[in-house]
Amino acid sequence: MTINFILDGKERFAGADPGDSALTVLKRLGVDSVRNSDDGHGFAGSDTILLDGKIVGANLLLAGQLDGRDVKTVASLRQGRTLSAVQTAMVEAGCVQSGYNSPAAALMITDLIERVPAPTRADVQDALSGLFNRATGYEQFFEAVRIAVARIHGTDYAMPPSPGFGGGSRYVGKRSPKVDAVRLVAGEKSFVEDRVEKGACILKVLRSPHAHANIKSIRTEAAEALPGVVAVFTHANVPRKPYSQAGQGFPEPSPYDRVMLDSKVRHYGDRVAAVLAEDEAAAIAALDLIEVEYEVLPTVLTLDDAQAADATLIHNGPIEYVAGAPEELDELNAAADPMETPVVYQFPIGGNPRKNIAASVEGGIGDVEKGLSEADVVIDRTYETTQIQCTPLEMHTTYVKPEGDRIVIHASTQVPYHLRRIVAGQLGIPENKVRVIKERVGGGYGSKQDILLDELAAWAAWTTARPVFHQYTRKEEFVSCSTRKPMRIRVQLGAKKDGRFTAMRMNVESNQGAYGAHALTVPMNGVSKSLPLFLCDNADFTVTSYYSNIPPTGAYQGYGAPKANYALQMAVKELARELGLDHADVIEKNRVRTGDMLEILKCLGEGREGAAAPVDSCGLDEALERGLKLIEWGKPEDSGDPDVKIGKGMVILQQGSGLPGLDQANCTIKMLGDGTFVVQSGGADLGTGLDTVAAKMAAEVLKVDITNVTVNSGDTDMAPFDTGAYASSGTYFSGGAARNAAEKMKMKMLMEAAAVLGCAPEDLELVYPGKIVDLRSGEDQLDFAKLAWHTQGGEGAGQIVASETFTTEKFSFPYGAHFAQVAVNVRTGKVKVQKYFALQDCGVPVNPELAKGQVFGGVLKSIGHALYEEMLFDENGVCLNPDLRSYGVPMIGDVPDDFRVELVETDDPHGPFGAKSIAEVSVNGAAPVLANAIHDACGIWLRKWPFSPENVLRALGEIE
Amino acid sequence: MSKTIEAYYRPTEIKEAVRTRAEVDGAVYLAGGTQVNRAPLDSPRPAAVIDIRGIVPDGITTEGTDLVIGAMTTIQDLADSGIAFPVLRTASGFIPTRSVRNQATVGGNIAAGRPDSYLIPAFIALAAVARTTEGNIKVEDYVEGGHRELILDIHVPAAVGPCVAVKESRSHIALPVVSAAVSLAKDADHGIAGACLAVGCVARKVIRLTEVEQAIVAGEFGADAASLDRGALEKAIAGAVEPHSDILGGSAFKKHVNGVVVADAVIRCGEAL
Repeated sequence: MTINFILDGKERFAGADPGDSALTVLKRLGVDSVRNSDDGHGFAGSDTILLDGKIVGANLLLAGQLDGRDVKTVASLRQGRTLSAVQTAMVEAGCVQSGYNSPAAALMITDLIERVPAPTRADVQDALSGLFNRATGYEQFFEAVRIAVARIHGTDYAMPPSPGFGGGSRYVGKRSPKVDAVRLVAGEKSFVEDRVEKGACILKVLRSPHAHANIKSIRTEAAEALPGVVAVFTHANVPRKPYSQAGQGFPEPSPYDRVMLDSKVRHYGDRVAAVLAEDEAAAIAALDLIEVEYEVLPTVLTLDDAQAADATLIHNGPIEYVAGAPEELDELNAAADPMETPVVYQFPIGGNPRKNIAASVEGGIGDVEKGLSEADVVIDRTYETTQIQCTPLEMHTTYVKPEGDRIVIHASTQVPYHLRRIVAGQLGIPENKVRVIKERVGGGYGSKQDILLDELAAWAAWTTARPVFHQYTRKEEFVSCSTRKPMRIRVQLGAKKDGRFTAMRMNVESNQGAYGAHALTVPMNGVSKSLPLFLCDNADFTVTSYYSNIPPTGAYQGYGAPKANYALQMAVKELARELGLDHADVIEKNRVRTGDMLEILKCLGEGREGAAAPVDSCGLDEALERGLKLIEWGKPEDSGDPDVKIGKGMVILQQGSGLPGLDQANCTIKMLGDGTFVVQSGGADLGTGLDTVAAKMAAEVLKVDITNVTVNSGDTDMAPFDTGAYASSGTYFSGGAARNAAEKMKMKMLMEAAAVLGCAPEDLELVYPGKIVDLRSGEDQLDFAKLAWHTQGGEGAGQIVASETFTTEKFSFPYGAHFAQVAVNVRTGKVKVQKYFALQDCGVPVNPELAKGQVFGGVLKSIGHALYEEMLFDENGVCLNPDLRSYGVPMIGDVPDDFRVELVETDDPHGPFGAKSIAEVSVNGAAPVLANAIHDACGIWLRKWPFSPENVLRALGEIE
Repeated sequence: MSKTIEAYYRPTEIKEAVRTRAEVDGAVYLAGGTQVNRAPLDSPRPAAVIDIRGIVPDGITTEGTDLVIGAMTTIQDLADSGIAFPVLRTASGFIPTRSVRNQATVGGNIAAGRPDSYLIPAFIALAAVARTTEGNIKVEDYVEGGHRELILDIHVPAAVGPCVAVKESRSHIALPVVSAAVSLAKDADHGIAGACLAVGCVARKVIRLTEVEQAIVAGEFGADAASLDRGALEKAIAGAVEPHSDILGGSAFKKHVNGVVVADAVIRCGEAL
């Protein structure tokens, strides 16, 4: 059929099949800015268009419904290079982060302001009701609307003044636009899917309908014979090289326990086979033609299942060690099945697959038993958390193309260099044959730290010499991704009557799922980012990760800390209650402060020897003081409705800043011919503003306008090595490398200038904007363009290029205090978050607006985890709710009525310009602070996520 | 149902649409499309669609005291209407997403017959009548009977008493565990002459709790409409529904919360009577 419609003011004719969606046709016409986040569930809003002036989802429309109508996309908002008032306001308010659906948001806000000249908060919530935004937590959209309304209507509105962070710095700590915000809000080509060229093949994966089964036989002849099919892959024609999908530093503290395609499936949705075809329809049709005979095995879904004496083993292949094999290895392997994929440990991490244990560790300081015996009160409680999805707007995507004897991978990844290493290993080629180009990332949150699809697509591209596009569906995101590990955490606390702790003990059991990615480090990080919040001479822990048949788990923002901190902070509140003391007083009596030495960290080395670490900056004093006043701690609140009880809660939280002693970042800066700079950073900006951090570091040190600095990051051919964007390392490590490289560039510039001017480098200094001044006379001597001319001419010493590294043994911990007020309807069980105040210490916040956006986003995510989100499985391990709505992500209608983020500045002595991380810490507060507030409201202890109405009613005794 | 839509028809008049539907195996009417097009990877698709835009009326008017809603009226237009009864505007607003309200139509919502529809309970509570290509039929009977004829418009008589719509869901955009509407009619003595409790989310279709309705009218929850016995109502409503356990919650939870929320709606109606 042919459809005829107006697209952004121009008449268009397009061919379409009857079942094509409007989105399909728009993509075919070259419209990249309208995107797919939900496979036509009408939920996420990335597919928003204006149809006859009203916002609708293009993926929920059939193409035929466009016929005769007027369609506007984000392209209609921008005039030439000039953004619309709405787009500019979004950039200024800091609500463009991953940017995947920023064009959709711009259309929604434009529509709002045309309909409602002076929108209220409720109007904004309604306008953006169909926009899923995982990154920034929505709050800054209200600010963007206020700015845009003022611009459009010519009324006065001044943005709230940004506090003066960073002292006299020009850029660090000051408000400035994210360097990639304009292209994102304008809908320019930015993401992997935008790079796919005509003629690229499509890869689709056949996934297991069983949670645990052996593949007895698999027949692919019919699929291979289907027109358009290029190749079919099974365990028979892919490398049998065990590896881990975890994008961690090598050697990884995760077992190599999977192969690309295996003859055994270990979770519902596990890979069975893959089809490469010339179009999507052929690929999908071919999947149906693959005949598989399964031998279904008993499933192991829970920790109790995995621990049972007669538990079915998830991995019964031979256990191997690259280094440090235990003495009993032969005994462990006596009953191993040699046909199964081996489990290869790079070094000992306490694993014993013969007991379904992927990894374990224990440690402690002092004598916990003695501490408990000396306590006046002992609390012994167990808390449970559920499996949680990262839900990035941009589903996992890769585009791999052969290029001579190399392959080029356009990737949406947090770890370009680990991706290169893992793909090269699987393909059996050296790393110089693999180039990874990290495109803009439409949200990762940890799930894009793992190599979930690139290696399979690379194998298909490498063996067929065809370009390969592979993108997950939303259902695949749920059943075949990297998720937050469910945990069961027992906490024992002992204290004297005055509240002083005498002992702390934490036992963590982690349900690892089918494969061992991050099996040791996530639960261990839970311990290392919670116990050190309190000082106690006697503290110990155990951590055990169990294999099971739930979908794979891995990294997710917070990396174990949200769960351990939930357990610990709840236990502290329960202890305070037992002691009859105010919760705030018990925290105050035991909490960490600047200058303390964290002895417990000597037992928590994450795969290497640990060491006690000093706390060299801690903003908890100010955060607690300000937060207690804001929430009016101790003041009772009355809803005026006997069914609705009001309560308040508080918690403290921390994270780290990268992995000192393990991580490394590198950066190169080049001076161009006109004195401007290109920064080549290994850091992987996944929407958080890391490129902006690098630009600010360079501009600050080199005394130039930030527009004279361009950042090129995450291209493994172009930029030097970086361990990647995880463990809250970006600002501290990658930002640190950018600062170090800028300092080196400055030194080189001064040396070159001194040679030109015939003086000593010490006589010269860089001065804004882009000048070299003689300190003796105070006179300008050279501008940067002239210096570049001197160095790059035929008699010059060569282009000035400076490369530097950032490594450290110093820890910098971001801290925070979160406060909440909730209203609990004791008849329906519904919990409404009325107030949420996050006071966050990230050292000197380099990008204050973006930092606040990350905190808003982190908090709202964790509110979702605590109240709504839940992966549900049947008794066979089949995920029952693999879509965003059924799963329960929060939307703008769930934002707290009064939602504030306040940054508490500290000057960290180790981070660049005093900065610490901000990426993860804010997700560690919502679960415990809401549970504590709910207890304050109605007296129930919620020791298991989620705090759903059903679970609240059950705790209240209203239902069985 | 098939994997792909094989044909897309654009009839120019209603007769042609009806004829196509009769002749083409597996064809369905396409109104807004939020139901037909939803989740194509996860749901079976119709063999063919018949686009009824431009031939089935839209817009909201009045005929005497009746409200007449064209079947192709979008739910957002109903929510925004200055002449629509407040309960219909409220129920329309329960659909949490503006872009879906802009696309979905009133007729399509009824025809889809979803058990968690927000509009169907309200139309039933208001005794609305659908004018279809086969004649007039009460919305309640259309849904109950699984009718498939093409709806042209909906006639809603002015309420003779208060009518309240309620919803309850885990989060703002989550699928509901309660979608219901309650109406009460008063007699000459200001007692309760009639009651309608239309409740979704508890069965395969929206249902009426007729025994509870009769008990309300019989005064079993109190003779004074303004002070009905909330606890007894809750218990009766919870006892009258048998929801299945599913991903939205267990049966006991759903019975309890329906009892609470629908009882509150009855109380509100009683107080307004």
